[in-house]
Amino acid sequence: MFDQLNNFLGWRTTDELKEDFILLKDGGPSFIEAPFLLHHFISFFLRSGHKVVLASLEQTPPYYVVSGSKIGCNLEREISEGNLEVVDLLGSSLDEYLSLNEDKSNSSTLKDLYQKLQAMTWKVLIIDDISLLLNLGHNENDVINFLHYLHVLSRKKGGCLITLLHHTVDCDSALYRKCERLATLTIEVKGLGTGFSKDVHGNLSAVKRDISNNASVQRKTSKQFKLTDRTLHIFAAGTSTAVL
Amino acid sequence: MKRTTFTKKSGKGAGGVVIPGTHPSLHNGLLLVSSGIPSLDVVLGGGLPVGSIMMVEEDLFGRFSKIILKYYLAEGVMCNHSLFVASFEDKNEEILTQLPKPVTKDILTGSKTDDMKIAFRYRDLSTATNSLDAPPKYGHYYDISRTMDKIDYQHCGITTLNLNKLTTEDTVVPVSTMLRSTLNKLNTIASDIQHTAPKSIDAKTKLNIIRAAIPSLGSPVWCENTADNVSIIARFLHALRALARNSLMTCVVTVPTHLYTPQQVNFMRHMVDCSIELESFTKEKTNPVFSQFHGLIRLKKLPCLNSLVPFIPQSLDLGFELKKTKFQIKCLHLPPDMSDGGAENDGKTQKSPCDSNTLHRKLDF
Repeated sequence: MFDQLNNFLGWRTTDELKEDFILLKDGGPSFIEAPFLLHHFISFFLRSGHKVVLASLEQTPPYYVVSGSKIGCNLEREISEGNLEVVDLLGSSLDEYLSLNEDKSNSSTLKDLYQKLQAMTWKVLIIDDISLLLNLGHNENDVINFLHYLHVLSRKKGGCLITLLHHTVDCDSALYRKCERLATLTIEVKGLGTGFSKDVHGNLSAVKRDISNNASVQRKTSKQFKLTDRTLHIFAAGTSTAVL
Repeated sequence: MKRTTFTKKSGKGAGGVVIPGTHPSLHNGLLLVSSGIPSLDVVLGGGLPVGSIMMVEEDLFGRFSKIILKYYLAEGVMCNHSLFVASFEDKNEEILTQLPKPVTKDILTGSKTDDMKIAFRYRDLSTATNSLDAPPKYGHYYDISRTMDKIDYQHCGITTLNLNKLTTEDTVVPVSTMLRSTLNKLNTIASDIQHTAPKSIDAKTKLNIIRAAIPSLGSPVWCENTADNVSIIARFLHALRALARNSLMTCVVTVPTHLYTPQQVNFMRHMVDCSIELESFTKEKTNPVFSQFHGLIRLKKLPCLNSLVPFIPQSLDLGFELKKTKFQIKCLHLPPDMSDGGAENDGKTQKSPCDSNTLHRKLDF
């Protein structure tokens, strides 16, 4: 869990968190992209004692375990205690791919996945990542419906839905617009406009939308960040330690 | 939990299983294999992580990407790894006969400089070399002008898949079938006990790495460059990633990305772990600044398995030069400015306006 990120977003414990749908998005291709925020949220919610389900399409479970241990969260213990459940979609995709005769990924796979997630008990659902479903050939409408159903489900459970939008998703696409509209908190990770730098890895900005208060939007100022192996440093633009 | 990206336990043999040809990373706990090109290993932070897929975005004629694949396979032979090649060559054995021959290390180590009389304090220091130039600890150098003898690679477990055999004269086999059969074959190799990442570290089981190479995936030989085919290839790469993570395998795929739109190339890059783009120079159009390079290498994606931050090399501007015994990747730098002495004395030098000679010529009353 990155303390500086919690300060940046303005909360200390999850009781102050009333978010419904947290959207993490990439501003463009860079060496360091949004997925690191997922680890923060996994450890943050686990530390507060909520039940988390992670549906991972992008990476296999050991990746999350090792990355979690780097920021001080023992995910293996959490899994054995039952606080964290990982749905390893990447691992099962190999068998699915080899057994399918046709190449059309139909909406029934998404329906099965939805039913599976509905049957589980959780407070926080993390999907890594929803844009990958588009890459894999699912119909965009199916993916949007899937997301909508999950959003309704998470609101019913009184919990939170977190997902990641990779930069390959077009800004004009329906999925992108739907995610932006549903999200109560959007965190954008963008690389510097001038190219990659070792001291400043990019810009971090957050937008909060208050759904109860009829579209009041709160924008946090964009800050710059540097990600090291174990921590995240956030600083105001231009005040990187390399510059001062 | 099954540990898929296999990490070697440090310590001298205390429960650690040593897999030949691999070494632990200095930056994170990953197991790395050499890519066959020592300077590329330095750029990637020690080598290719086991369980990852690397995409080489081909240059215009695919010349250097083919060479990179040859180095990759030759390194596998040297380390006794199992090799897998899926291509459209009719005689798959031909690619094996073209592997470069390894260079013995005696030729490479230069002799120590002889006794220095004035700068004797510097005698014991190493010469100032770029880290990309340093002699490799784990890799080998290969002589591209000579090929490996059959005796050298016969002991390796080599599997080739000739995709031409799937196509007949009448029917056009869709690309999804070809990709599926490739993955099936690879899956059967990977399910062999020596290639699966073990759940418990047992000193008795002999483990080995599979090096998979797929040349020119997505080229017109495979399929047309339509958006549907891109998503078919993306699905294949996704399933390949699942297979690679669950077994001891590294994969290098070369893709002619100049045939696809930037958006489609982005999709494909999303599916692999590491991507480098090659741009080779043709003799006529080369910028004279790049006279010592054969081409440029651009890092598009760096492998980030098991860590928050990928290893970022010292310099991101890289160029390569193919010498007889080395495929050398160097930092881009301008050549030394050796301006000719004669050209300057042409009388075009700027003289100050107050100079007596100039006054006569330039000022006209």
